[in-house]
Amino acid sequence: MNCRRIIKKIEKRSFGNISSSDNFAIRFHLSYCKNCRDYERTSLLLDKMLKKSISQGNTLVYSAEEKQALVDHLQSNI
Amino acid sequence: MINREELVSEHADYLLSFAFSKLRDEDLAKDLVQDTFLAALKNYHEFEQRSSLRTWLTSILNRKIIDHWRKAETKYTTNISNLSKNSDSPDLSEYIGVTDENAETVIEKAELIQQLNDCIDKLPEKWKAVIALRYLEEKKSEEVCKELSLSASNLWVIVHRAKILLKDCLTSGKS
Repeated sequence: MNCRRIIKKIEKRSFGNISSSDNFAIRFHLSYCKNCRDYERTSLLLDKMLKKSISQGNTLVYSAEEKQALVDHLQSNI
Repeated sequence: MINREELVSEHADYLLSFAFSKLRDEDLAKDLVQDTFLAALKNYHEFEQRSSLRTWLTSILNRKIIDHWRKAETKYTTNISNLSKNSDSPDLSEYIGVTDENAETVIEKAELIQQLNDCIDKLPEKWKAVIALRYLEEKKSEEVCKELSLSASNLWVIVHRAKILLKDCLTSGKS
């Protein structure tokens, strides 16, 4: 199996939906392909980092002025 | 009839954070929250009160976010394509100093998270949508494809390319 197909399977696996035969194919390919091993290591690390980063710093609030402007906009448009 | 001041004071901040967490664009998040309130006021007679008002408002907003993503550009910009050519970029683990023992500590560093967020912001809208649905909402691949009108093979290509670009962005220090 070529690297492109293995990389696709590695990403499918990170979403959690992969068959045991695909899992075996990944493991077999990685046993001799350094490029894909490097890709897998980076991919797994990015999975962890993305999960951390995406869930942080998401709180945003309106200022009092912005809220009043929003109310005024709603009053004038409906 | 619904009171506009109560509507805004009780739900605006929640909706804004909800939209911002997915879109990572403050102005766009504010626009869609405003559109959500307008749609809610216009269609309030359709609110059946089987769920809370906040749940109803959130579902309207979520629909607007998905509509925005579906229309969004899939291709990456010149800005980001410059980062994609670097196949000889350093190994990410080595570059940020991650080992099996210290991974959890290193990836929680605020500076690294900020750098990654800056890199994510450079991705095309639809790629950011994939990241939000995958890592924030933990959606399955079938759900991501359905919400964004993507084929499965397109999804894997986007995930793969996004990771290559994020790695290049992080290791080039160009965040």
